[in-house]
Amino acid sequence: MSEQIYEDTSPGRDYYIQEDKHDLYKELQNSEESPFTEAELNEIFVFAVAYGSRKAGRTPIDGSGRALFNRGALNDQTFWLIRSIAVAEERTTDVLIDGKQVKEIAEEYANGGITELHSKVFGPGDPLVELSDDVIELAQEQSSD
Amino acid sequence: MSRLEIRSLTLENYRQYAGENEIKLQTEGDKTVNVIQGENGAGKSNILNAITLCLYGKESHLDETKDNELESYPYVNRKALDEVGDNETAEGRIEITLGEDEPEYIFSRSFKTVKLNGGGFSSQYGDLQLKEKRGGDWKSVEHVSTRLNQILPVHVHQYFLFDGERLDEFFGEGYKDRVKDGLLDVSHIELLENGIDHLGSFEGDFEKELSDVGDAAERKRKEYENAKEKVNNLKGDLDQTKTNISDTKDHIREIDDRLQDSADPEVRKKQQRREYLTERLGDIRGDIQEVRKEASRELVKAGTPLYAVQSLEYTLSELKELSEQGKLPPKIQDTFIEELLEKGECICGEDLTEDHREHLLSLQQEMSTVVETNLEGKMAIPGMLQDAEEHAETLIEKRQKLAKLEEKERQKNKELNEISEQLKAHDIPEDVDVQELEKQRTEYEDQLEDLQERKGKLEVRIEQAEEKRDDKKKAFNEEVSKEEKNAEVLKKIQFIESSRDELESMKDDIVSSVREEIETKMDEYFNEIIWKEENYTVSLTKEYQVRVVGPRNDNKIGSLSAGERQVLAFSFLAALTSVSGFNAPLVIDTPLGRISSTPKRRLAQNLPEYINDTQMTFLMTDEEYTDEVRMNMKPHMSNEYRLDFADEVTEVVPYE
Repeated sequence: MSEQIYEDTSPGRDYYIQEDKHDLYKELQNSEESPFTEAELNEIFVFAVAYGSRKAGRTPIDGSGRALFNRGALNDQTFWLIRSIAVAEERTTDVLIDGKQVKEIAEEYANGGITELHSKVFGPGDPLVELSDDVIELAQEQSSD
Repeated sequence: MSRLEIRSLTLENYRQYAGENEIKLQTEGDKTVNVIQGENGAGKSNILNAITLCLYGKESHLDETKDNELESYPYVNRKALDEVGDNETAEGRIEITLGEDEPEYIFSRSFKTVKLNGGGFSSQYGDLQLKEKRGGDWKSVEHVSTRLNQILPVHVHQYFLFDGERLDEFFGEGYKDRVKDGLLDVSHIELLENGIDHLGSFEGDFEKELSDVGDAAERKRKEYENAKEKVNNLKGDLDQTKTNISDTKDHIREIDDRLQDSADPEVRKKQQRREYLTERLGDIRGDIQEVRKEASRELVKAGTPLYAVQSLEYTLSELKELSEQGKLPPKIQDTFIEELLEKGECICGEDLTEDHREHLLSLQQEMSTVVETNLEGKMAIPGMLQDAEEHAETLIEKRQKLAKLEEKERQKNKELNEISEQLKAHDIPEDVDVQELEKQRTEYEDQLEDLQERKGKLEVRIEQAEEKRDDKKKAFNEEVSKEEKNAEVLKKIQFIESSRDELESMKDDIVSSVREEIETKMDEYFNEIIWKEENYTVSLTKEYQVRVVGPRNDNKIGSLSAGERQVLAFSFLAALTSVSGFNAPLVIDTPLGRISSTPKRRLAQNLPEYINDTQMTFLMTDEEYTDEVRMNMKPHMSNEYRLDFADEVTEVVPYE
């Protein structure tokens, strides 16, 4: 368990992304070949957090940031996903009082995740097939545990 | 009801018309039609030319194919020119008297021709003059073009004064631009367009006022300008791509129609099967799109928790451990503290001291911020994993459904390819070159696929570019608004923008309602005139595409005969004049030129009724003005003339 002492901080209103990655989000949301055309930006962000935690790793925001959505857009389950990523990263639930830190961890996973996800969607193959094969496999592993 | 008419047309030494020729055209009551009959070359088209030359300073109906010797005619009649020497000038004049119940306007324009050494001529025309009757007196009007624009603006005159024989070219290549122009011309939106342009230039002026804003803002202004330009360029590309798509589809339809008309029943059967398969394929592709969307939604819902499953499970196990250690007390403990505080007594019976109270309050506080939250997590995470499992199951179902649909799509495509290959191998000689047509069709299909892909990409790029442009604009505005004086100007710019948006939306509403009105009238006119027994549906899309859908639900626009195209164009123009609101006379040269006998009769009979209360002057050839047509027009006829052409001079004489 981490020896770090966490401060009780507020996460702030907005979730930020790296300015120059905004186009990746928009392309994922608007391109006909993307499976994310029906998703809101906050849903793509959280997907990118999760995807990044599995496939990419934390990538600090480089250069200027840009607010993507307001935390009011997230529901309770999504908050717990973001908190869980921080707990797993820090290996302690103590991190949960540090709202700023929890948010920063999510933003950094999303930063790595969105690049990876964008490459997956716009790379070779049918992105819906490739991603859903992956997800179905994860679900099957999960149910066999 | 009164109508604005050409009451008389005077041609003095104009082209074939030597001396002064006055053609009286005033009509009476329901008899709204005039006919001027003449053989080719007698000067019918020059009557139309005289009107447009007088009013608009141009002979818009020069026709190389019909009167190819016209160019050799100078404005002034040859006979009149014979009477002047080399380098001397002869003059002429055209006069048009317009009015409703009495003469109200006299438009006139003089012209002259210089007889050059060596047999050539040089012609030029003078300014348009107008006299208007006011209070019984004729007065000269100073701003002639303004008055003319109120009667029949230059951009609209082509829908009132036109050559019927050219109508079949109207729906040839690039017709959508002509339809769009026509529709916009009669929509009376000039004021709105002027307003939009004016506001645009105002905005530009105000943006210039934001000068002297410093380097940072200047840089942002440039970025904004570049972003705007990029959006405009992309939109231009998209428009062109859409036009190309539409043209390519028309080519394919045209080929399909020709194959359908093949003499070989086997070819016709294959073409019919292809039409059926194409329709089914369209349905299957629609279903595929729908299922892909459903699967995508499930993917997003299932994928998010499943990619984070390790973190979720780790956190859940941590929370459970806390719970087991008593650090995450069950919900009852929160209530227990509240009860202790309320009673003010410990379970041992001792009264609570201030220290005890403070300790209990701080415990409660800690629970409400962290422990309570952690308690939620302990419940939320298993719920999330359970939901993920359910969404993954639905995702599997959608994928199975998708696989079945894709298999059906493959089968249909395979059969379509087989048909195409069989048609390409068709080597039975007949009037339709099946092999060649099928090869062209395949090329168009490939082209269409590329164009549609390009269109999709452009649309995405435009959306991104617009967003970037808006961001750049915002950044620029933020930078300049740091100065108070600029903030004021920015407010004005924002006001102008919202006004412009409002005008744009009004314009769209008007154009859309005019389009619908034209569509309805076009459909009505076309079906009345056309000789087919089946009913055709004529539609005019938002993209200005005209579709003539036959009983087989196929668009016939690419395969209409010259006569059919002329009827269609005529229906369109008649719809335009009808909705235009301009109370102006119609003059049509060769109105029935390429139209075959049955619609010719119908057109002659019904035209005066389609276009109510409008003076119509038809310039007709001997072939057009048959006894039957004349009989059909007779009830509506006011004036009937014949052009007698001899020795390069035409005389206008009343019909016997």
